[in-house]
Amino acid sequence: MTDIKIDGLSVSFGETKVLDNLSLFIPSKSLVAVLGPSGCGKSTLLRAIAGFVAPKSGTIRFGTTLMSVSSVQVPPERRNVGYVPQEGALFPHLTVRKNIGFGLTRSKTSEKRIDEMLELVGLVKFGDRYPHQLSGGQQFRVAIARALAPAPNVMLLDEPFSALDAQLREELRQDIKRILKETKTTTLLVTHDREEALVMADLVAPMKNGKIVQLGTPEEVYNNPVGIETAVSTGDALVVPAIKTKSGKVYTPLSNTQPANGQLGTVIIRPEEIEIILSKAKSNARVSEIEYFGHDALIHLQLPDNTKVSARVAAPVAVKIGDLVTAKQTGPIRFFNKD
Amino acid sequence: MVLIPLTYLLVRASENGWEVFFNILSRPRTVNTLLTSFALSLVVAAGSLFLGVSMALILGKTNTPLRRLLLVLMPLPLAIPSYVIAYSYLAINPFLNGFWISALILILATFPFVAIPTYALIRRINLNQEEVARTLGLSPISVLTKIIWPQVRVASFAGALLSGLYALSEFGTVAFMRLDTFTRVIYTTYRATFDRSAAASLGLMLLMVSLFVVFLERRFRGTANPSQTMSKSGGILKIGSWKYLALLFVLTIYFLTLALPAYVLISRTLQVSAEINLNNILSLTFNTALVAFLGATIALLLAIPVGVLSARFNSKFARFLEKSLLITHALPGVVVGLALVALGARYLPSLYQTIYLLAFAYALLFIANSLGTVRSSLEKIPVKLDEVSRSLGQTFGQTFKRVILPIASPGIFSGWLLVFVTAMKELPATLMLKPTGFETLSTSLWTATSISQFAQAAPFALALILIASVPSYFLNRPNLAEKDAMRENSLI
Repeated sequence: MTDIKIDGLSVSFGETKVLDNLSLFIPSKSLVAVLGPSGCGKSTLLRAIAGFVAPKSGTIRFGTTLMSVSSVQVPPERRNVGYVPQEGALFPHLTVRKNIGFGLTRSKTSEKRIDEMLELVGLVKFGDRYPHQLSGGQQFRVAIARALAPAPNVMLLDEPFSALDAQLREELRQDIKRILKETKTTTLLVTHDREEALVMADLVAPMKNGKIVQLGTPEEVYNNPVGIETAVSTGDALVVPAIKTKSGKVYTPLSNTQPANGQLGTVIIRPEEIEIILSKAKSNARVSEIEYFGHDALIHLQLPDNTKVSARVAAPVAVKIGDLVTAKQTGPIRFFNKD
Repeated sequence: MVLIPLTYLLVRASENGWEVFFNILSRPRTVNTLLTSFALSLVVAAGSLFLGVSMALILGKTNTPLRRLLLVLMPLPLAIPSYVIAYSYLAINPFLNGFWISALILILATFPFVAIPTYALIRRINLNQEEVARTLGLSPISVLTKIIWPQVRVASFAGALLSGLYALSEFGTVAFMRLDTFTRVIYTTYRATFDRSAAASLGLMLLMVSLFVVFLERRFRGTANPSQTMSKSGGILKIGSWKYLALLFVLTIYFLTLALPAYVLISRTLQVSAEINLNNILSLTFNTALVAFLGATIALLLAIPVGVLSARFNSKFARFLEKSLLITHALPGVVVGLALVALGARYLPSLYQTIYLLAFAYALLFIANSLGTVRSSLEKIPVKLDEVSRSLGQTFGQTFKRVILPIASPGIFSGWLLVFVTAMKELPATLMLKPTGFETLSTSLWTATSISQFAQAAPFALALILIASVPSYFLNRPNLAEKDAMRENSLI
């Protein structure tokens, strides 16, 4: 297994810059998730690593081996990557066994390898079926097994679970994570689903406008996002105006007092970091709406200066619309200067 | 290669100077021919539009009895060459000739061009649309005119243009019915005078008219509505006792198109059964199949690289190549025959008077069919499959062999079969290019009919229909379609 090192990678389609001087390091045996909205270039990054897209500049290294510089591209078939596109893309004319064995040179050892793979993904009994005889989840497992069979340098998963329904998705996530860990496979996953990135990955890399903006553990990027957009992309986030005084203290509309002057900016608060106290005495907020999810609820609050925030509270919900309550911020202060 | 006949015609027509060219074109006889051809094409297009839409509506939208059975018969007229229908009418009444009977035969032979796509669209229109329209106060008739017709109109007109194009380039029917359209005049000019410049001038003109019609058809198709997603297909109108009239109408059409010719072929064959030389029929059948086999194979070999280029590498060159192959669709058999005769006689003496030149003519005439199926079966394969294969260590060549070809081969094969079947029925190019002494079923039918030996011609026609309909059965085999559908499902 090798690490993947990407330096200053730029890709353009005509006039449009899709990847802009992008750098990313994927440590050996780790699972990195690139998280970004559609159109941010994350699929292009994946396709550049696989060799389907020729970058304009920059380098891609697998370990110490150079795979891509602007002048020389190693063709996809010589990179030994495991590519799992959306919805698997199994070969419809081949059985499960033949799909899995597709990238192996024919020999007795390959039969053994196929058996191993079938066992790994839990499809031992399905080797002789054709793809159309499998469920969506099974098809996906075959796609994983097919990509893993030649022991690739890196696995590339492109929005892997987006076509599957919610329940199956959760089940597969855990399973695929286990398989990748068991086989100690270096993996890059691109997704627009923040939950998927946080649950699956060792490291999450939020992406914006063709650049990786941060690289950290799921907790790091969730708790200490480097920018407002990163904060929003990794989870629900309240973007609240704030003032920072010279002494370094930060005031928000939730604070009891407001300073006369200071640096204007923005504070990011996660809804679960707002605590609601049911006392009318020092109330600073009015309940304007309640979104009930079952296991928890979002309480929408209107502050005296008309700022709107919301608090995530565990069920059962003790307030109703119109109630006056006290809202208190509990989490870390994340202050960002006005640009 | 495709452009060779066109270029040749241009050169040939201009050989005697453009003055002669315009001279020929302004002869009263030429003007007459032009008018006749246009009129025939127009009448056939209009007639097949009416007949095709009526058939599609009756079979797709009403509770006419025996609907399903009648529907299965709908594509069959396409399997019968129109000149066989013409022949069978002549066998009943040798004095038939002229414009209207030619038009009638061509309408009967080509209405499926309109009926098939129209029917498919009618069945695809969502029932919800009709129900919403009804709740908004439309009567069933208004639903037809305001909801259904606007959605199928484009496809119906495009089909009618195909019928018109067919009428323009059809040779056998008009020749049998002694109607002087372009194709017949070109052929007789060529045969009578060997004045190839005159024939070439006429051929060039026919070609331009045909290209114009193809251009029109493209325009129509370009504006077609994106197809609706299939869910609940449309409702059936109860038309009361009108349904018996509708049934009578459909049965009359099938009688004229299918039953009558079949009766004539069989009864006349039985009449002369004593004198039939079975060996002769077999060797003619073999000849017919052999040349068609070569032609279909050449067409496929030419179509595969172009199909791959245009489905996988979307370059300007590929698009140009594809477009220039698709215009062969407009080449009348007479024109290709004419061009290759002269070209072969002058520059390719080793190929002239061989079946290979004839096979090449078939390939030129029908490569558009072949390319269409090759391309569409390649396009159905997601590029993702190529990419996965590449990432698993396969080069593009290996990917083509291990992934693309196996998945596309049923579609490619049916494209080959389509050309094979169509080529067996070709008449004018075969007449002009066949080596001396080499006969096929279609040329034998032609010869016998030309000298009014109608009964003697019947076995040839019957054999032709039989060998052309066996592959047609494979083309329409439901089993195959089902497999395809399953494959597509797993490709989504």
